[in-house]
Amino acid sequence: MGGEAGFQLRFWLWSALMAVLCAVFAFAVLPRLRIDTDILALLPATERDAEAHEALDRYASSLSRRAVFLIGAPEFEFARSTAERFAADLRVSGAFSSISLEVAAQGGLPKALVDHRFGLVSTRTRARLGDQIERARMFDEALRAIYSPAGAPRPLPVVEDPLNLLGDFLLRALPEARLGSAQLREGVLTVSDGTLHYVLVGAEMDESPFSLSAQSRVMPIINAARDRARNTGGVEVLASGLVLHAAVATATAQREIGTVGTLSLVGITLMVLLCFRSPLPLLWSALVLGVGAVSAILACHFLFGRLHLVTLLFGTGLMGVAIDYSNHFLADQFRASPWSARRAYEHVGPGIAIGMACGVLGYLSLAITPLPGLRQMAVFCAVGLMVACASVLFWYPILARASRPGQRPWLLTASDRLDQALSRLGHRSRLAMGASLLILCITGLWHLDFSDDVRLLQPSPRALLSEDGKLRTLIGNLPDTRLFLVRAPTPEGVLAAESTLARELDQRIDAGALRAYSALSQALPTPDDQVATRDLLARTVYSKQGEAPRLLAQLGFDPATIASHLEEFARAPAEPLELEPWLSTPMAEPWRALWLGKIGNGYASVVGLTGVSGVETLRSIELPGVLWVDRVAETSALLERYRQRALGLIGGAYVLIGLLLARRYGVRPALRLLAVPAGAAIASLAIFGLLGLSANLFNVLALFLVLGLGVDYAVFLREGRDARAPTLLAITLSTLGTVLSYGLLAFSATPFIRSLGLTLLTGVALTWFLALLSERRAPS
Amino acid sequence: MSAYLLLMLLLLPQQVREQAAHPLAQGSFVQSKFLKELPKPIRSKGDFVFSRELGLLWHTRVPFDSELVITSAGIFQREGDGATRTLAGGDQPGVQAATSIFFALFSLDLDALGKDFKITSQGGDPDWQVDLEPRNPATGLLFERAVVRGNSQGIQGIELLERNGDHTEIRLVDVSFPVSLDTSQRSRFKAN
Repeated sequence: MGGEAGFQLRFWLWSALMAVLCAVFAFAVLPRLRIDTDILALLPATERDAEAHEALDRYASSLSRRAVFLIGAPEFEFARSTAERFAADLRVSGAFSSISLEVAAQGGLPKALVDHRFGLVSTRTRARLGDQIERARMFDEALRAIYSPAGAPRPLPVVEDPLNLLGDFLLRALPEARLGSAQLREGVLTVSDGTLHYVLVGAEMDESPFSLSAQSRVMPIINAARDRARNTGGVEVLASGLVLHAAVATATAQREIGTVGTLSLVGITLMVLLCFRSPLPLLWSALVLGVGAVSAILACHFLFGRLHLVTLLFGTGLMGVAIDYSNHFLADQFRASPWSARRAYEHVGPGIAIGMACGVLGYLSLAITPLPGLRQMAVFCAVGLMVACASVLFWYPILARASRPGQRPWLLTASDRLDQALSRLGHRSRLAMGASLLILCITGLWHLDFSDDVRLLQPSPRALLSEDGKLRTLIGNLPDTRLFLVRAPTPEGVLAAESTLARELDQRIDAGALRAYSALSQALPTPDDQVATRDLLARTVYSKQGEAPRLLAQLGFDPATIASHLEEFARAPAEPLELEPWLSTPMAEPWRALWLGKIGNGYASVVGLTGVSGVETLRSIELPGVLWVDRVAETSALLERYRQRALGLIGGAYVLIGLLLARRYGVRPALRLLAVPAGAAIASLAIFGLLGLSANLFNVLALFLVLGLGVDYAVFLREGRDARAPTLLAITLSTLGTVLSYGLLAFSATPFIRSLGLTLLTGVALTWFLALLSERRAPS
Repeated sequence: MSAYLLLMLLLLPQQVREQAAHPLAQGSFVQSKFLKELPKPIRSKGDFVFSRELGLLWHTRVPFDSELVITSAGIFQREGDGATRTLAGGDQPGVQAATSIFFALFSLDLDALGKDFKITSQGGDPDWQVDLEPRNPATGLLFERAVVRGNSQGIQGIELLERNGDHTEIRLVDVSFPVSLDTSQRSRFKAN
């Protein structure tokens, strides 16, 4: 392995490389690093085609940027003035791109609607016009409506629209689903629960709600408004929006990482100081972990452009594996005296390299999944392990010094005594122990169930959910998470597909499976319908003997006036009103979010649903270009599929590592070595079953870390047969370190982090125990 | 939409609070509609019954027999042949917004009316006038401006300007304030 010059050369070359990486990290990457907290960011949105994916992403991202606030007070005026102040605060914060309090006054009828009004007739009225008896009835109703003091609003004078077809169209196109039970009062939207009057404030953000900078700008404003509301008697602020949930998730994660980080840092520091009686090993370990983490983050950043919180958490666990190398190297000093780092290199180097190779092999098996999250973790861990291993092997021969010769640390003594006690166990007690463990495992696995419901994995605090629920109840008709995606090659095609869907949905409403839906086609008839309507009007209403001239004549209009209005009909643009110009009218404002525009080679829109009660009958709708979307259910199904896939992959990883180990040690010893992590993995899953906790993808991910640690421990003990006590010290240190960091994650408030933590806590403790049992102590 | 105004005229002006406080009122009306481009107004005549408890009957007799019935449960029309037709139930958007104004009127809730209309009044001795202007676009679709006129005898008439250029004038005559309604009057508030 080269002489002194070789050690020096490798040391300096590696140091230079690491220095460059750290500089790149600090100056080029850190300022632009993006950390996702949304569990969904780990998963592909769905496993469907790319265009649908893009369309849904567009819709979800526009929806996720919105927030709704209700400012309530006993008197409307007070609620209104408080809401005005709140809206002003939000505007000043600059975190939102638009704040809506006042409902925009619709300054007169948009010209586009008046120009194309002869194609704009509601479906129901069109059917009536086609029927002779109904048409006669409509004539009669129109006449009475003109005389009667009651009736629908008339946007146009009687002479221009005797049957008030435009008034009827506008009434039926009102976006009922959007407003829900909100009422317009003095230009603002209000709801009331009987005691309080609430004024509705809508807000839209520029940035993603998961962006930390957006959260830090938005949350203080919302909290300040709430504080003010609390200090003012009777005022209540209700808020709903993804940003609130994301901010809570971030705050919880930051707090937990902070607590866990501090506690484990203190614990590990104390442990290392007590063992090696020098702060230097701590410094070297920190250095190794630091460059390992920096390289891993760099690799993820350059390969994926982002980093997920779960990857970081998983990566923290990886550090437990990486520190094994450092501990193993440094603990070697208790093997023999005098000790030199160069000789330690020769002694523990192969074990460390094999452990690293096994770990990398295990994690890389995660990378062959198409799941972005798993690939990120695989890259993070593989790179981190390789760099940490190389750092130990290249730096320690130069840096490491024996601390104080002749002193055995208490941890070494303690673990050695425990080891001796275990080795003295008789055959029968070993058998009994194995049997009872086996029974526990079987019982546990029998009771183990998997639950992949994404809502359970990342639930929001109860207070936030109940506030959300209250707001939804008050407003009544906030859209469901389930929806239909409608796609076609042209905008007209989208409308046509929508109106076919609308007919199906009308039936579902009648059957009670749904309360309402909102679709563009409710507001704007398809071009074909508009042309057909115009033809129908030309035959039945605006012909010489049509209903319009007859009605006008009966009212006493003179023939010249009537003739001129018939000409007006003939002169009106024959081409239908198209979607895009319609969308730019103020009347279309409530509908705009439903239009997704050009996606790939076609166009897409969303049909929103409210009051969904019959999921099955809605899901069963199968029409060309129409896609039922239930992201929550799909994501849960996806998590389940990936959990199963990860379980398969972990099997593959065992096989790969087994082959590697068999090559070096032979088949039987390899199986024995693998039994350590395998036994620990099975037992920790069984513990979940025994505790009545359901397992998920994150338990399986934790098992990958257990595999990495377990192989390390077993290989170190095997390679270090002739120096069992220092090796034992090394793995005991590692186990305690991992337990200190991960044992604490088991108390996380976020279920998926808890799953990861608890599995590692039990898995690593069992691994240590099984490693001791598997590699027999040489009889002393 | 002048039905709203009729109710307002019966209930709203402070100067006729005495009359407005009456639980019942009845009388005759003459309605003239001035339609854009029509040289002569179209006229209708009839009578009305107002009950704070039950609602409003607006019975047109000329040029045809048709009775409009407005109650808290909805609006329907009873034709000369006795057939009834619902104009607005609870589920029709737009018209529903209008019915909420009725509820406010029935309860003489000036605050509630004030949320949708800007109310200004002039004079009061003996002639007075109340102007109502919609505060928001939704109510603005119903009419642009309404004027209610009266004197010490009570309400004389109302004028309603629609945004589309048509306008309506209603004159009330022979208004009286009975103590109770007879059974046949009461039954007319129910759809059959």
